[in-house]
Amino acid sequence: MRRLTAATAAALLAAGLAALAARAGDAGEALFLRGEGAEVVLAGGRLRRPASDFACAGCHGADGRGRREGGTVFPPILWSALTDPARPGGPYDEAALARALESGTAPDGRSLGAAMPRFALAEPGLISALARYLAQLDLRQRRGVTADGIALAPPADPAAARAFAAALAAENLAGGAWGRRFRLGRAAASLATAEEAAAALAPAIDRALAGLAAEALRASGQARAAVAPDAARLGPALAAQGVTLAEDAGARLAPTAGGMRLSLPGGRVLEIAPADTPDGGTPPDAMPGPLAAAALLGHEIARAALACGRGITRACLLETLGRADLAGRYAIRAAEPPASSD
Amino acid sequence: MTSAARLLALALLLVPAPALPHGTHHGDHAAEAVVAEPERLALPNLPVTDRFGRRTGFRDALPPGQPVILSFTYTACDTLCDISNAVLTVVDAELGAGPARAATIVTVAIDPVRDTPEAMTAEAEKLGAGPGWLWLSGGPQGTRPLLEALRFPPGALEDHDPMFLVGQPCLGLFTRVVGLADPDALLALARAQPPCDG
Repeated sequence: MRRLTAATAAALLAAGLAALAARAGDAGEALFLRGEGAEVVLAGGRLRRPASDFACAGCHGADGRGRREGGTVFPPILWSALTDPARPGGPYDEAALARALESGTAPDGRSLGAAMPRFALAEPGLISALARYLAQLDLRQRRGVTADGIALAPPADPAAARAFAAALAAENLAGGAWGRRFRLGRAAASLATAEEAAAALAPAIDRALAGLAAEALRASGQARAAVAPDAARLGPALAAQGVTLAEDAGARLAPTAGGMRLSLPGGRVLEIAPADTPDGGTPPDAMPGPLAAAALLGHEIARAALACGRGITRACLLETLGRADLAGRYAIRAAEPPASSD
Repeated sequence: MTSAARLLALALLLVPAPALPHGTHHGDHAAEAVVAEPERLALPNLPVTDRFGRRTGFRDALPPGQPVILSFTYTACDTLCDISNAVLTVVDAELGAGPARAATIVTVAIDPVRDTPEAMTAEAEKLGAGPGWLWLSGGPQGTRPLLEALRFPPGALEDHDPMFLVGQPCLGLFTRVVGLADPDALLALARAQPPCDG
């Protein structure tokens, strides 16, 4: 009985320690991505508020590699960059990180700029958790990236997976990206899943569809269009293109599996769908919408990987997909072939 | 001294020490506030929508005779806008409410698509913005002309420096502050604006 209790206690202790360790890791991530566990102290202490709008990832990037905005440079804060002995301003350790966050002091004692808020942490242990997260960031952001390959998890649907794989194979034939070939991998061992990449690409697709739809409306003399409820997200982008949205308009936009269908007054129907790609990647005309979309995704992942360069990260890949200009990747066709003249 | 010379003298006094170029450190944060010489700027009366969805002219939206602090933001911003807006939260609180309030804060939305009245209201409520803090958007078609009229530099939404314009609309004279301004500097600049009949 006694021994059982001791064993149980040991097991409980081990489980407790593991949970604590896991929580510490999560706490670093929560602070980095969402500002959880900290308050921001602004204007010389006159303003304190939860740091949720001031998370590290907002300015320094979810990949921690830094970025710039106008004249402001947000430096890289990967642990390897912060602890670099050659770092101007001196290398950080955990104590120096705490001083930077809490009092805005660099390792060499100088003040950080006004763009870097001061933080009040809920508990001192968060500094270690944050430092550990910053150290893991490089690894997390480069999961699936090897010397000669980039692993991506394919779509769940088998046919879509084949179209996705074919597009990546075509990109591999065209040279891959920076000496790396695209491979299919498990989600847990990939830079991103097809679903994650598709979600990142969605705003770019919406911009392209809205642009082409507005162009087609203008070309057919329509200033107004009705938008189907399941395409309502295109509304603002269409309005920005000068299209007036009206329920009773003669022109009507509705989504299709791979794009958009535009019905014009007089019975003309136009289909906006992924176009043949000029570089040899070929979602053929006959390819059904979802497969063409999967192929487009594969090609766009390859373009984004090229743009991200040798040091590709997951955050760079997903952000680059969101900024993609897809205007040339979609085409407008008559929905039905013209009737033959016999 | 002319109004312009007086404002310039004040502006030079107001530049906080870290705002000078030698105050930036190892390139970490290059943009500190730079206060420009007062400039002639007639506020346009272009159509705008406020955060309650009311359509009005930009100039007509402002209480007559009162200095304004203009700022620029987009509601999807997750970088410097949040700090600029926090600065304005302090300014808004210091200005107080009621007839004695010395200035109006006007936040101009720069995202023509996503800065809807609902999005502006959500942002204003998150910041606890008072009734003397206006949120105005030119909307899908009116944002670009409005920003051009205010000489807001063109470019990608997410690639702008923080910018404030402090001035007296009736006199058409504004001081442009580029970078993260100190709330006290903005307040002093607003309070130093000459009255309309002066």
